[in-house]
Order: sequence, then C-alpha cells, then structure tokens
Amino acid sequence: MAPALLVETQAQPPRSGTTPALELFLAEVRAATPPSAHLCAVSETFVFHRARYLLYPRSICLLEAPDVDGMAPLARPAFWRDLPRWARRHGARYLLGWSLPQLPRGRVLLRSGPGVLVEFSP
Amino acid sequence: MRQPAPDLWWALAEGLGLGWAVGVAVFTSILFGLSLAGVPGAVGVYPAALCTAAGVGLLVRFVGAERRGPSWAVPEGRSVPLLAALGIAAGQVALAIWMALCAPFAAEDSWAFWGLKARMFAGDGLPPGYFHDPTFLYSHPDYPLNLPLAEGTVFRLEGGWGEPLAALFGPACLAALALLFAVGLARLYGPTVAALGLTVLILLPMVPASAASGYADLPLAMYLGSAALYLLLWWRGGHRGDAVVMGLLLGGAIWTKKEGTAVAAVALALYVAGELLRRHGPISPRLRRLGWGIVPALALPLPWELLLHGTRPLGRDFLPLTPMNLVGHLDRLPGIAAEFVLQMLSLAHWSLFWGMVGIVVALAIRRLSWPGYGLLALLTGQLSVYGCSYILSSWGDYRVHIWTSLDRLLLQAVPVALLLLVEASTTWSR
Repeated sequence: MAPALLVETQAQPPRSGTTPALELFLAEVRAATPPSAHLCAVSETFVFHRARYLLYPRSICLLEAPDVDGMAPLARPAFWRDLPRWARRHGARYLLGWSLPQLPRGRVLLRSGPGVLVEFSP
Repeated sequence: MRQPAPDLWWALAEGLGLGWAVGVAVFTSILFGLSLAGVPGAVGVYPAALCTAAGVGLLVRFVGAERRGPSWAVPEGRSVPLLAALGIAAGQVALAIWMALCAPFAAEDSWAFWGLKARMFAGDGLPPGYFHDPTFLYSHPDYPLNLPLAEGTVFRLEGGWGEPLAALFGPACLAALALLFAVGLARLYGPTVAALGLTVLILLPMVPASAASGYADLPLAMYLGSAALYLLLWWRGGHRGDAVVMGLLLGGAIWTKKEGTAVAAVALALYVAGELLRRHGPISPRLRRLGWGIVPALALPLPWELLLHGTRPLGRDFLPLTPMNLVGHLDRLPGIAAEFVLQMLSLAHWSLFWGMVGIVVALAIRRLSWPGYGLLALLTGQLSVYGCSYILSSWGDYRVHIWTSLDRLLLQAVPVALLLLVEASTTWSR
C-alpha cells in the first residue's frame, strides 16, 4: 500500500490533448452556426473528431487536405479552387478550417487563432 | 427509537452497489430496446426508469430474503477496520470526482467514442447509417452502448451541467465496486480481511485515474469483478440470488465493452463447470440451476445482440478470427508476454499488486480450495483473452497497440486478481 500512496500524492487530472485555442474556436463556431448546419472540415483528424464532438448536432464531414498534418502530399491549387463545389456536394454550407495554408473563396464568418469559418454562397 | 441492526447497514450498502451496477445496465438496455422499437429516447427514459426502479427493488429484496440466517451476517462489533477501509475508499472516490470535474472526458478516446455517442443519444439518437458509415469508424460503431446511453441521459440536462455530471459516471462505478467488495469480502472472509482487500484494491494508482478518465474500463472492471465476487458467493453459499446477480452483472459486462463478452463467456463456462462437476445429486435440478445465472446474462444485453446480428456494425483494430490469421501471427506471442510482464511491473500503474498476486498464488497454489482454482481459471482465462486479442491486432506495429491499451485491459482484471489474492492469502489461516 505504501508505494501506491506515494504515487497517489502526485495525482493530477488527465490531460486532454486539446488546446485552449481550439476549444475557443469551436465554441465560437458553435455560436455562429445553427444546430442544423452542415460543415466541412479541412483539418487534421484530431480537430475533425473534436469538432464532431463539440459541435453536435451539426453534421461535419472531413475533406481530405492532409498536408496540414504532413501525412500526405500537399494539396494542389485546384483543391482550394474546387473546395466550395466539393463542400456543396457534401451538402455543406460552411467550411471549418484549422491551420490552412490558404483560404478558399467564400465569406469569412470568423477567425480565431489558426481557425477559420467560411460560408459558401448557396 | 430502535437502531437498525448492523447487518441492515451492510444490506443497504450492497443494495446501493447493486442498484447502481445492475440498475444502469438494465435501464440502458430497456432504453435501447425501446429505441429499436421506434420510441424516442426523450420519451423512453420514463418507462425505462420506472421498470428499472421496480426491477432493481425486487432484485435487492430477493437477494436479501435468500440470505436470511446468521451465516451471512457481517460479525457485529468487529467492523471498525472495514469502516476505516470504506473511509479510504471514499477518499479515493473523492479524488476521482475531483479529477473528473477538473477535466471532464479528458482522455481522447472518452470523448471521441463514448462522449460523441452520448451526445447523439441526448439528441435524436445515432444518425441513420451510423453503424456502416466509414467516417464514424474511429468511434467504434461495434462497441456496446451501455455507457453512452447512460451518459446521454445526463447530457440532456440544460445549463452546461450535462458533461461534468456525465463525467462522474466512472467515480460512481468505483464507489459501487468498493461497496460490493466491502460487503462481499466481509461475508466471505470477515471484516478484517475485507478491509485489507478493499484497501489494496482502492489504493492502486490506476484505479482513481481510470475512474476519472471517462473510459469504459473501470465500469467494465466493476461488472466483471462484481460478477466474479457473486460467482464466488454462489460457489460458497449456493444462494439463488447470488447466481442471478452474477448473471445480471455478466450481462452488464457484455453490454459495456466488447471484451466483456469473451470474459463473460469464460465466467459462464466456469459457472456451468462448477454446477456439473462439483455439485452432487440428480442432474435435472443442477441443469435448472444453470438457468439462474445464464438466463439473466443473455437476457440483459439481448437488444444489443439482436442489433449486432441484424446489422453487423463496422469494426476496427482486429483481424477476423480465422485459423489462418491466428496461426500466421503466433510469432507475436513472446513479444506480447514480455509486454504483459513489463506492464505488470509498472509501479506507477499498479504499485506492487501484480507481483504480489504472482508470488502469493505461486506459494498457495497447492492449498487452494476448488473455488480458488475457479478464480485462478477465470483470471487466467481473462488474461489469455486479452493476450490472444493482440495476436489478431491489425495495427501496423502490434506493440504500439499494446502500449496504448494494455494498462486499461489489466485494470479490468484487477478485481478478479484481488479476489484470487485474498482467497490464496487465506489458505494459510484455514
């Protein structure tokens, strides 16, 4: 029991792996979009998963632009040009971007840290 | 005014533990069954709560009535050590509550799997096509839904209270486990041994941390460990109520996490073996007795099992169980065994617990009673299930899979290991 007690004295809450900047950005997205909104995320998968959790019941799909986490080849310029069309194909009106190297066409609704929320015209 | 008899307090403690453990599983199973029948969750909670309250009330009464008699009373006047151990347990539960409230659903898997599904159940339920949607594959659509349905009920609360309160599910399971072990061990071995056993269990560093994390492993440890305790009570006392409770708790394990099914199958096999091999008398009453444990274990997760067989949800992390996959990856066994030993020796997770279990069981193995051998078989079976699952790991490097999950699997086996430790330790005093 004694070794256990020694370890217990150092107990602390577990770390979540998320950042205050991401939490703040997603809270602002939540406030700026209706609960029935459809969004496309262009981000690393962690951000996509976190957005799905915190922004529910909004539906969110992930558009592959994997250069943001360095796991795949860089997205070509055509990717950014065609983004509004791809998003519409998924039924999404908003784009949720995190650490994007460039902005797609559309109305920027909010910027917070590395996060950006873009609204596409219907 | 007349004071209640001391045994009544222990009956109350057991009732609270059983009420939480069995009640949650029964409630969510009914809720899920109603949702399969098209009843929305917001409506289904009321009949589910009513049926659960009535059912658990009857169960606790039934178990209490079965145990009338001095043999199952906790001896009077000698329960001070046990009360002290319960005080330590209360401190550990408070620590888990503090950690859970400081960072609700902190662990990534807890919000990405369980929390997400809980939010869905708090809303309109799982989206259509969820079980076959590859974009939800990361959330393990094939995992049972006891935890998210229970948490989802709390997530409905308005005003931002839902998430922190749902995060207290783990600490509540820890409290239930402590109560059930305090009473069960006291009945089996007396209050002093129960106090020692409970203190060893509750002071393991991994226990409060896991309770606060939002993972399903501590709740599964509660179901599996309590089921093993009631199996032992059944083997020792032969009271019907203990077999029924064991069955319900095993059903809860199946309904909480995937690996619960495999371990529950091992426990049920031992229950059957105990009836057929160890008890004497005509065969037909013994076969009838088997139903007391088996029927509740199969009935509780029935709605989920029906859905599993009807929809076959997507799964990940493991290759299909085929002879080719099994034999083709047998070369992993030495590596898996080495990782098990290394993890068990981690002081930061387990203190000296697993080393102590190994030494005491090795010294007492020739003197164990037949229920002791039953517990040894259960623990060996449980650890073998976990070990063999890594043979079928589909991860690029199976060792990374082990490094990220083995501590949680071992936590699920801790209560069974503790029962074995206590059983083995008491062989010298007999």
